[in-house]
Amino acid sequence: MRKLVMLMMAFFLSLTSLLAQTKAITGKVLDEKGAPVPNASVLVMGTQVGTTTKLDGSFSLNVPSTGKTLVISSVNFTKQEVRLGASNTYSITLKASADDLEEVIVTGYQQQKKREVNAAVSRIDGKQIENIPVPSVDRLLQGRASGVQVNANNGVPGGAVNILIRGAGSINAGTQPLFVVDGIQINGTTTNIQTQTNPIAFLNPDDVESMEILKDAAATSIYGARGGNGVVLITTKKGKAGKNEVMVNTQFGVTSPLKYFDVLNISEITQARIEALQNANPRATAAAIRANALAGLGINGSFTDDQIRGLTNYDWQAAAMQNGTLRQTNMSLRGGNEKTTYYISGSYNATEAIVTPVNFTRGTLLTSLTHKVSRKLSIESQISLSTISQNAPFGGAVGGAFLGNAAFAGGAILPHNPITNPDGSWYGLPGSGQAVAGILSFNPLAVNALNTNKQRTNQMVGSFTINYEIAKGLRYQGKFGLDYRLVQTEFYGDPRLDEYLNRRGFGSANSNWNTNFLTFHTLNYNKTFGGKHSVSALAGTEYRNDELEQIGASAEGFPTPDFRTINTAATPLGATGFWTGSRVFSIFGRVSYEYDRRYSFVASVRRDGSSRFGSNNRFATFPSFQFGWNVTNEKFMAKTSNWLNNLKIRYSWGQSGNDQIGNFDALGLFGGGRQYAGNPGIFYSQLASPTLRWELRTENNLGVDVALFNDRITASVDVYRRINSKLLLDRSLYATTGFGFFTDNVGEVTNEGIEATVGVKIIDKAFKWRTNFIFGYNKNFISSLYDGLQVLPGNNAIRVGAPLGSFFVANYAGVNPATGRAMWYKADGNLTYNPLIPADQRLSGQTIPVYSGGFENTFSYKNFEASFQFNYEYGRTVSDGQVNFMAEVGGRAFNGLQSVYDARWTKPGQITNIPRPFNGNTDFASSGRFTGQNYLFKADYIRLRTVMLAYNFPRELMQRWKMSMARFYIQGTNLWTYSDFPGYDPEFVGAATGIVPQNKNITVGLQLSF
Amino acid sequence: MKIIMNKFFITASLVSLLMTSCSDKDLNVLPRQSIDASTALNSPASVDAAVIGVYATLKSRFLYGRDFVVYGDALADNAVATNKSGRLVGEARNNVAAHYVNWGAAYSTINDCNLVLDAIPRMTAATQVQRDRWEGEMRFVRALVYHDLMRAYAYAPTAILDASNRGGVVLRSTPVDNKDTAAAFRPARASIQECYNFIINDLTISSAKLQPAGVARSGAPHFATRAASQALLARVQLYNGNFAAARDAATNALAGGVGTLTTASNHVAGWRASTNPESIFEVRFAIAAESLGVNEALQTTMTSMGALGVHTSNGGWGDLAPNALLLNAVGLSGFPTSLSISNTIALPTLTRTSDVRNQLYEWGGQRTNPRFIECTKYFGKSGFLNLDNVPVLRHAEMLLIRAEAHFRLGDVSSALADINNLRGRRGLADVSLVGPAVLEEILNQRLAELAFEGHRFHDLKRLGRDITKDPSVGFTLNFSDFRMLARIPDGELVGNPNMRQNVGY
Repeated sequence: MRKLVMLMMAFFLSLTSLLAQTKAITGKVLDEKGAPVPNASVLVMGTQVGTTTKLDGSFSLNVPSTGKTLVISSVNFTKQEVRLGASNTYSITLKASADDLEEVIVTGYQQQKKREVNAAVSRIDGKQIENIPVPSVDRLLQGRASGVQVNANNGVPGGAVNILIRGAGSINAGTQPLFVVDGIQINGTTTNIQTQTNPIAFLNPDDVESMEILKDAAATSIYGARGGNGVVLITTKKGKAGKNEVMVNTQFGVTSPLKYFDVLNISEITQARIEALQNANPRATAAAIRANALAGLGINGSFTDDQIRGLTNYDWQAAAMQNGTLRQTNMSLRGGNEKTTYYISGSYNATEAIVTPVNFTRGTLLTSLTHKVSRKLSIESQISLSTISQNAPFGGAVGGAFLGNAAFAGGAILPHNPITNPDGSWYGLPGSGQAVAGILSFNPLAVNALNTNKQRTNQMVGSFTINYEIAKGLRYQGKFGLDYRLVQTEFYGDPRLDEYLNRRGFGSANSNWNTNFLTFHTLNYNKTFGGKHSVSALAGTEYRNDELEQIGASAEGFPTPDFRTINTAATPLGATGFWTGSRVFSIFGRVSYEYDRRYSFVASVRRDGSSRFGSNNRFATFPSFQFGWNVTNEKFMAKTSNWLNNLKIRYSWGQSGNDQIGNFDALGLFGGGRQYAGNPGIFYSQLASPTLRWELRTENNLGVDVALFNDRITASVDVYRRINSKLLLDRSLYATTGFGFFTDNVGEVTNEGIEATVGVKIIDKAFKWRTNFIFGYNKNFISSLYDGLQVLPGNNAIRVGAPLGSFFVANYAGVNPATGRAMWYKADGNLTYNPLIPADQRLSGQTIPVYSGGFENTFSYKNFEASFQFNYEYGRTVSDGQVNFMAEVGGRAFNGLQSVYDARWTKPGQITNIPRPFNGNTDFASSGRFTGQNYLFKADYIRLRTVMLAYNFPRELMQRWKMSMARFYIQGTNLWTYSDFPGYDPEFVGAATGIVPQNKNITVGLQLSF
Repeated sequence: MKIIMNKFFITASLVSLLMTSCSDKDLNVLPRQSIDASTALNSPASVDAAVIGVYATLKSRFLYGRDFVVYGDALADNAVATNKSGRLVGEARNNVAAHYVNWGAAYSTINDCNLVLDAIPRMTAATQVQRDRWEGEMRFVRALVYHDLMRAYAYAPTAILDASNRGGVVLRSTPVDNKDTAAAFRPARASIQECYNFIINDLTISSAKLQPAGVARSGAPHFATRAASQALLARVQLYNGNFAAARDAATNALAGGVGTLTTASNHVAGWRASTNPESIFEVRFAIAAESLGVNEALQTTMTSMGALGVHTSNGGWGDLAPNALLLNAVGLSGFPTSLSISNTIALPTLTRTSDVRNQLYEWGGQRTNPRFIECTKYFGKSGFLNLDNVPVLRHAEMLLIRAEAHFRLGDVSSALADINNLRGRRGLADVSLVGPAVLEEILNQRLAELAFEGHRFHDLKRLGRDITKDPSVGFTLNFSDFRMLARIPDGELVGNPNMRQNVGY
């Protein structure tokens, strides 16, 4: 403290000594519209003398007699020099920075000028994604960043989103990117107990200032072992000095189903069942077959065809998938003075999925405060609180519930079953004497209505940051962050339903909490010298401790359906508990050097130590280099500068790692949890792999950025080759060893691709039309396995040369016209009813798309704005559990697809691809009808992701109302899709065995600011 | 200000602390629900827990949780798949590769046995009784699982189709406990006879170890005993064609003191009790959490009723139902040839003979039309829905094995004595037969007595007989058909030139 006093005294002394030879001037800095520019730097050129402007843009300064010129600069404005004359007052107008290369982007632990970043980084501005009602911001990446493939796993609001950045590099380890929110690495685990809770659903999308996507290994290398799948950096809005700004944004609308299946009526189903039974029992009489078919369908055996045609068909799909509502309100307050700035925002979002009772309700509160304690020291505190409540679909969000899921059951249930009784009660509950006919022998809507299936998430992501300027240009930053998430679930199986009747109800409760602590400390140094040399350096250390704990209990035997908590049950059934954790220590650094705005060089290195890996391989180092050449700044380019505004060539090389495996995969373990006759047992659960280490991603990236005709056309193209080696592979063991696999570092996956972003200002007058085209091509293949193997034992689809997510199946050869039986090709090209595994199997498509991207257009004219955005995927093949189920058409007693029914084989000589109906679906001595290629579908699509029309109230009106902005808008999401895919949604990820499909929505909203 | 500056310096020192303290030790994060494998089996208590862990594996769906109780009937001629959930349809039609898939589960159990057997000599802190008990138990379980592997993937020595014989299975008596051994392992199939010798040796040692009083764990029939080892030996020797040994072992098992033969008056009650009084070895399912659930447990597989005798109630799926061959064998008639009736019509009255075993069959519940007659041997006997103990070896089987062994050895009168003993205990009059009819009666009694316990397919296979499927399936699976043997998982063949797949796959 004494030192500080001495320093300050010296400072004042020097001031007084200067006073003698100075001239006092005052001035005001304004923008082009005449608004004051606060916090602009005003510096006397060639000296250390300077100040910053106040809130009203004014400044006063004592200029030494040697001072001739003032240099005024501010973020987002072009630096301006003003010659000092005789006057003592100056009014200075700053021009908005047209040079988008001065744009600053977040690159991990620091901000860098975009001009100096030579790696592959995409930026999405908060403006681009505002007012789109999605529960989590990751869905907004869809089609907005080249090389980033985003798929909604399902339509559960707040559910998981599958994101692949530059393809997938891992066979068994995770492929999802790292999310970093304001410097805090978020635990990326999607909690999935009753339903999915997206790890970044805690964030209100309106609070996002920008998202940067670090794509190549050179960019992600600074995140070392966790950066291998790309990194998404989210920066939230912060306070701003100036007048208080209140923003209110509210919108509401409806969600509705994307599609319904065209299904059969009971008369057609009866026909299909009769054919299926007759085909499977050729010796049975027609009368016996008919009796059997009608019995199976719950139809009176004496009914004639006409009577069956006369049965009522109920629209179960429409009852299962209805319109929902969507409401969202955000409010924020932003302001501050030179010392303290703040941003406070609250939001409420209530979204109903199209399948009741699935919904998502979220409240968030974000408080961000920055305080300058002194000229050198500032502190920041940021706390984001959120609470999310989700009603889950029966059977969970990821599928596998099949008929328990209302969206699945709605199409499959026999349509002559009534949905409700005339009095409004559910049809077919036990004890009613009513039986739901068919395989689906319960009322799926009653199941979803009566059971309770809930998931509640309370999350806090908070941080405390210290910034200290140790010396000029040298800054220390320390951050302490916590990502704390408590997920509580409850399930109640209602005793009024068949499944829980005999147990008198079943209940379970579960708590799952994640405590993710992180701290990092960095030193940042920036210096420009000699006018042409610009240097910046970063050094830091980081520690992260992540723990996940779970406890749960279940019970059965409830007095009545009104008692729904497990303490009221008669019989406790089970208790579960679980703990896992990991720790990472890291040191990292980055050096950037730029010469004359022409050549820039960036190098970074990170060394990580992680608890996840084998004791022999805990530490690893990840280096990277970037080189950039701003060709337009060369003298010889002066002639072209009238049309070529920017030409930059970038090259980068880097390494990063993937550590997304279980926390204890390297350890040899004996596990508990086995029990026999009331005794606890243990067993050898996992073989040790003491040399286990990171999966290594090495990548070369070459990029070109171009701007033409006064920035009318901008383009950015990158080509890359990404090699993931030392894969964290579950190396299959022959089952005769007693083990299935152990995790080893073997194998190699290559991704090669091209990405492009092209922006064109097509019309740039009073009417403005801008368009953005995003394109990505990614070729993925396994380049090697281990021991010279060409195929992974136990998984025939993992083959050298084949893409990840490949299907390796028998090729379908259609139907034998004579018999109606499905046929496949043998390896030798001949036909067979029974293709051999694996001898007759071939590669047939892949789940990861080859081409992806988006197309965005914005228009503005006077007070109107409009925009629409498409995104597309091409080259993706999937299997759809629901379509396969409904393509049985007669195989079992439930409903099916009209298209399959119409094309089924019925008589000899008929040429078709749909085999004859067959009870049980497997013809005599044949493989099942859905064997091989026969169950795969192309999932290419183009989707109109968002459409928006907005009206900004005129400025005069605003002034009269004392508001700064009022905007009315209508927006639609997923309104149109072009696809041949037969299932609900070409985008889903998984097996589609009972998921909630995505929906479309239309909302209207009002955004006010004053 | 001072405070803030102090905090800053504290922080700065923290940073340097973090940077310097980043050592290997700090990165040791250990799980809390598992323990280090290298020191796991270092005390008698942990070895004993590992033995319990081995027993627990028998509850697997692929072993006695379902498949070894259900597939023996589904693959044979005495049951039909009802196509309610769609499960077992493939097996009942003998579709290609719709067969046993116990390979992985069995070898996992075998390695667990080998790990314990390997640890026993090191357990100097344990008593001799403990060591003998563990060895006897592990050799019994290993033999049981090996014999089931042989039943699935290989021919029985009594009926080998030479043209299709690719041998037995992979024999392992040493444990795999590290990744290097595991990764280098390139197994080959031993011959059928080598495998049977291996199993018989295990059972011989097991019987000897478990013989002295006080060695076997209390809790029989849920744990291995000498009687269980002898009972399994009787079954193995019957398959092996060593009928004298089968006869003697069966006699030992019957006199082993574990379980007792039920009579006509308590046979049905025996199937309602949690532990079947006839069981010599039974896999225990004790608590609700052990249930295989609403789709795969034995109760749901075989029945659709919510409560016994309540045909309007709804329970499980009822995927596998008895057919006319079986119903006739237990003396039940009055059902239509289609075996099923619509839910909406009144239940046809079933006519029952004096055979008490037919009381284990009744019209099923309402769940999904139509209604079939269902077997109620497994009906939540352990006190919870879909939770049943599984009798693996029981007295009636011993009597039947001994009868068949007597017959093969030419002692027809002893064979008839055993058969009539069983008949009497099931409410049937004695028979007096000669010649091959005696064998047919033995097989018929096996069909009636052991139905839905997983024997029929193996009985036909070990006799080299064709399987005349139910008329609704409409074909005969000849003994020469490659589908008599299960398909070895194809991953076992990739990169291993020593391994041979069964013919046809």
